Amino acid sequence: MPSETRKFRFLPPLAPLAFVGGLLLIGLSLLALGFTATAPGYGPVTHYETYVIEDHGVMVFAVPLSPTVPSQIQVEFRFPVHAGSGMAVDCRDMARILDGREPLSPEVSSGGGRGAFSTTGFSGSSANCPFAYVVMRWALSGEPVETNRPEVDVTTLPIVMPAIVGAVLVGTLIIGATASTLGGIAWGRRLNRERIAAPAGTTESTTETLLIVLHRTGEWLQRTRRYLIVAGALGIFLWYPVVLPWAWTMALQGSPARLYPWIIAAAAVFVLFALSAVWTREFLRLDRELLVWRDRVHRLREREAAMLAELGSSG
Amino acid sequence: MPLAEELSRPDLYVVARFLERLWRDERTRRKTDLQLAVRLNYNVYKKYLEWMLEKGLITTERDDAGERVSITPKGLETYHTLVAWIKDTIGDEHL
Repeated sequence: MPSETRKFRFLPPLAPLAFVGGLLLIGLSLLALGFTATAPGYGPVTHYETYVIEDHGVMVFAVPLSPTVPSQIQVEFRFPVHAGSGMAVDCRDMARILDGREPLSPEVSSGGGRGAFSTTGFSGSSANCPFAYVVMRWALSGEPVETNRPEVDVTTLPIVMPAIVGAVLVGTLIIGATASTLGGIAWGRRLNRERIAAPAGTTESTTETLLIVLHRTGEWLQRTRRYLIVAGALGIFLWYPVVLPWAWTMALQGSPARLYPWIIAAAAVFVLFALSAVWTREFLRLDRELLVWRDRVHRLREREAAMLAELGSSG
Repeated sequence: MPLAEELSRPDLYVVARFLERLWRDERTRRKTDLQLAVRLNYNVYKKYLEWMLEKGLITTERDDAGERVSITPKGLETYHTLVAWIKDTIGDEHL
């Protein structure tokens, strides 16, 4: 045997492992990406409450925090009439503010007629404090609170995705897709090679050899069909209820300035649909082949019965 | 009672094994040699032999050494028909 062939003899047995492992890697990568994007509250925060507390107008945005993923809160504001201030506080300080007291430790604060601030200081929620609060305050000089109510844009983003982590997850997606594609092709070729069913040490009998091929071909068709169903169910269709909602959520998180959620979501959905189309084509082809096979075997049995009947009536 | 009646439903592929051995060898074979070639126990072998004789698939002749078996044209046709049917069932794509 050539040394090249000897060197790669271990590859065919690894094909099913590569196929299944690749699909698992794809799934885990998607879950990891989705884990960071599907925590509640990411994106714009639009709901607010307005209060009047000791001659100050107070505008409060409640920002939900993920229990697992640290958040970044970005705020941009503009007071229409005169300057005010903005800050991000936790539940304890929010309670103090509503009591008319000053917060003890705001994460960040800013002042002026127009400004912006951001914070990454809220690392996660707890049962007692599932929110962070963006608080805008301005003095009321006898005017209604709406007069100087600022225009505020509050956005919350996950910060567990620095570029290197995102790149690693995209890399594992690519590795998984490559492994599953190559493994699937190698596995398919290996199964196809098993079609050549002439057994080792075949007897000299043509009839016996043909019968062995007959039985093995039928077994091969049925076995391959079973493998295909399991591979399709576990490797492709089981991921639909995971990938589609994930992709939808990623798309919702996207914006003109943040294209990667769109790109990753579109790529994932495309890969899933492409795998589904390939699987469906192969399954239908194999199913047709199996039906033809069964018809042929049935016809053979009929012929055998007819021959036996003919021989039985002769002699 | 004809012995063939004891073989109510012969296996056509055992019959084919008999016929193939006789056809390939292109000669008559002694009964003992044929039994070894088709690898059947004596009782089953005898039943098939009798059945095939009755159906005209084989014929026997006696010589000084004993009885010898050979294939008939009908047996040859039956064998080739069976082989053709199996090949047809398997199909070219699997052969």
